[in-house]
Amino acid sequence: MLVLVTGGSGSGKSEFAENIAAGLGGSLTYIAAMKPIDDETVKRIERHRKMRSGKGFSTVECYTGIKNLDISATALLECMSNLTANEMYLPEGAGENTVEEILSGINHLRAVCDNLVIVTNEIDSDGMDYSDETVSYMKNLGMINCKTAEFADEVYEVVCGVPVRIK
Amino acid sequence: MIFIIGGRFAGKEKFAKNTLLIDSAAGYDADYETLRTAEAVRDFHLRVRAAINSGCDIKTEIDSLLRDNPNVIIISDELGCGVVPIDKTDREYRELSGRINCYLSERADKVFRVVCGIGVRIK
Repeated sequence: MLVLVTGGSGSGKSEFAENIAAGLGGSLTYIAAMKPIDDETVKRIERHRKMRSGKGFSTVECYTGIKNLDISATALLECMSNLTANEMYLPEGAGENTVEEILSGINHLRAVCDNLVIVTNEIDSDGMDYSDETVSYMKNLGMINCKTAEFADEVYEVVCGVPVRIK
Repeated sequence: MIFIIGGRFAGKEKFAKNTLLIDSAAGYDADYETLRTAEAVRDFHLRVRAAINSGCDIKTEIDSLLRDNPNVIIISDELGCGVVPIDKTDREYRELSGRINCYLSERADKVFRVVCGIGVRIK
């Protein structure tokens, strides 16, 4: 079972995704894609750790190369927007092959896990012009989101804490 | 008219091709004669921005287009889900594109909002 959860920042998508994953049963692995690089990311990670504490997740930090993860049962991957940026910009990332790398990683996780819940992010609705580099990041994430939704059994957009099922 | 909105790179045109079975969409900067016979027009929000710059009345153009090509599919980015821009022209563009999207929705037979490539019919 593959579930994709999207939404804007602060929409409540993480908490909803945690509850979905917890409800699917089996041992729970949280795949954390955000790299702690400064105070802000450390705080954000801490907030997420607190939010999911007591729900039974064991955390695996994975900033690039999810296709090498050795996990099983139920996994929650958060967040695709971080993972995409990591693959594009970290020295050990896939660079120009980011989309292929991530899609093959998702296929790997679908094969080894019974259930996979992926959290992604809606970032493309502010109408501003960005640099070519940022646009290629937006485009890559958009392509990954569309492809993941195609494979997914269920897709939800969380709006103001309300999950709207769109597939 | 069918109106398709959604974020950038959300798969709107692919949705139009796969689900509404169009072959191609005209660019936002196509001349009016092309739009009269086009199956679809993409990036309509950019036509709104171009209209601001050229002083053209976009609502009048929309009214003519819907008379001349009532089955056209109009594809536009959904804007406005971000911080209010600092620049005045950006603010006007963002506001007008939202108002024009409402104007188009009102006149559309069907409206689809595309998220992660999935079209959700909202009208």
